Amino acid sequence: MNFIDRISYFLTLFSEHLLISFLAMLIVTVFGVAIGIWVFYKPKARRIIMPTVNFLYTIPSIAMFGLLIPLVGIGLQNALIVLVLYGLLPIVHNTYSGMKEVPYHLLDAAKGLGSTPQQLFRHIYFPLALPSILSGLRITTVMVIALTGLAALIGAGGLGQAIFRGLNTMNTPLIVAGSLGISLFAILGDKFVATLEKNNNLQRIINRNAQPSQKHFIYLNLGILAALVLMSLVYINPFSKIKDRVITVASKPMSEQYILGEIMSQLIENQTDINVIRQFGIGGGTTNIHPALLSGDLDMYVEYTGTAWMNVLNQQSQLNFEQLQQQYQDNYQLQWLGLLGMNNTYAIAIPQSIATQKQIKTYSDLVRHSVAFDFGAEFEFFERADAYPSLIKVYPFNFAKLHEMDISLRYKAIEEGKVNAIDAFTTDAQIEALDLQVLVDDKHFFPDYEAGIVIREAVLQQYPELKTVLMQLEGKISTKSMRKMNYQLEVLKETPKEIAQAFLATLGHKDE
Amino acid sequence: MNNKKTVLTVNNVTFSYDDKVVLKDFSLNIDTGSFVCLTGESGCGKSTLLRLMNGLLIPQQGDININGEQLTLANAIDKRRSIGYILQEGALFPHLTVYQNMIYCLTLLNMSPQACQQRIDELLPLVNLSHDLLQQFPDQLSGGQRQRVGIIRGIAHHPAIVLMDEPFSALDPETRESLQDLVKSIHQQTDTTFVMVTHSLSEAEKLGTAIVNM
Repeated sequence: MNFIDRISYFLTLFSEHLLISFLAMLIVTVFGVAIGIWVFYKPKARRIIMPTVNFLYTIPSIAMFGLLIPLVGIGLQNALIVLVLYGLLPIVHNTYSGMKEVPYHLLDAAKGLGSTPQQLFRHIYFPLALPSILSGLRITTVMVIALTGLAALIGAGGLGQAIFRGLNTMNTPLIVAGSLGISLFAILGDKFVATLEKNNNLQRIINRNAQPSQKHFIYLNLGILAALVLMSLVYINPFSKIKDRVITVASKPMSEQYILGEIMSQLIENQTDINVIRQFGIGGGTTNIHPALLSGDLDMYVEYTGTAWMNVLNQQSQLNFEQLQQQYQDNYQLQWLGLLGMNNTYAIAIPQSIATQKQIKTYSDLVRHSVAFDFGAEFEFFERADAYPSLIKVYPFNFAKLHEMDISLRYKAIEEGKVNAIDAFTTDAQIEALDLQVLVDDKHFFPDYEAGIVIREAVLQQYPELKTVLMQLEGKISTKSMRKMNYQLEVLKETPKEIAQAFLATLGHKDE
Repeated sequence: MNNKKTVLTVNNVTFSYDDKVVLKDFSLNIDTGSFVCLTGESGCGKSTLLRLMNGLLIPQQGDININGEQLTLANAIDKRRSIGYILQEGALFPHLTVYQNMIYCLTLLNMSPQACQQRIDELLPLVNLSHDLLQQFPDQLSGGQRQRVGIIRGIAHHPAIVLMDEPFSALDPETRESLQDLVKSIHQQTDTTFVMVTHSLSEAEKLGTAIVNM
């Protein structure tokens, strides 16, 4: 990605992050303070509200984002609800305790001098609770800004997108940039609320006894915030999005999915006048994308046949693609637009040099030489009934030694020579990077995970031209070429955009 | 003096906190322009009586009348606006300036800023406070200055009755004496009725036109 692209990518993420957290803060402040005041005056409500607010805070945030998907779908709305529900606790508590701790003798004086309950609230309770409310607001601000980082998981955007994209595509600079961005943002947010707190600035302004310098300071800060919000709005311009002729392309949070999503998006943009919204790296993958397709929040993505058959359709039998297509159509009104050609399944890989030397091409070849191999795989591979325990019944391997390790360490282990055979996914970039040979599953033990485009039928009816456009990809992306593209992304650090452009150029669909 | 009018009457009042009876069948008449000191040991109910007089507490039995009208929950706020209230150390509002504290009751009555300013200009010389202090905050004042502000706050709205709850107890002897003199002179210059709770008999004897030992 060139420098300008990078800058505009981060400006977009920053603007999204600012708008999401600002909007969430606005809502949470209004509601939090209102609820805090309400429970102060209504002990009955307090007994229900306070434990509820505490409980909401204990639900892991990732789970909360996920739990809301069936109710409100993915995107901004979902993110806002989660942020608000989380942010409530400090504000509600601090508003309530701030009011509760107003000294008795001051209340006695104010009441004794003839204040009505409303005047008591306006002149005494609220201004005196304000420092406590503001310190709650500080906690909430930092929390909301940090939590907005997770909103990227459900396609709401923000700086978290950089982190997740970095994590999913092994791009450390992107992770660092995203994390530092969020930290910096949180510090600035905290500083901003601190200016309201400092020298009782806000309290003084509300009580109309602030020094001119205090007023100028606060108005300047508010002005800067307003300007930033305004600039973000102009930069992203959420209102300008063309409501018609738009299609939302999604991807799972994996390297190849970013690339495939980008290939489909560019293809559509190059050959039609449909506008593409990219919702890449949706957390939870199929679990969250499939329901979002059903609700119409997302329109299309690349799915794998094995996942669709076993996890979506809950089938135990041998995979049958015609049946799979039929059931998708009947049950979900979703269409499979052919298959791309690649198969991202489990595989066994060994160093290329050994494969050549010993003439090992298939699993059956490996069985004959297995005593010479140390085999490494993740814990799950040894544990799952459909993996290693079944595998050795079909292929009676007799490895010299078995190494159980974390999934991320397998390639490291084979690189360092600690093992010389590992389990892999067939499109892993590391296969390319470490010059490994993927052996052929000659007895067809592992199920197929062939990639294909899944799209909503309603979208195809609206844009019939899409079918022809997307069908051009059918059979055009082999497992090997996918692995190469993953290598370009993860090892050569090219961007999905560049990789997709290069790929489409070979198909003859480059930008004019 | 003749023809003294009764401004406040306490008729057979009984008041208890939970099980603890603090006042039992207590009666008292207070005349306009008098300075009544309520004294007695702590826990004898003198502060409770003061709070009953401005409706912060409502008696379980008996009644309290101000200018012939019975004090109830419904009219308590209204009645309090004709009563001044001065507490220990002033009990000033820390988030308001000295001036805003002084005009607190005037604000509650929606008095215009000019009228407020005029009233404070009138009162400042009476309590010996300089204009410079007006924009300061209570925590910038000495204990004696705070109580002077508290006194202005308690009398600015021309109350018919001023209730004082141990107003001088936290002050050093010198300041206490000068404030006692101040209150005495205010009482003499106005037709206001004062009711003061104090545990000091000498203070009661110095200021009171009547002493109620409870």
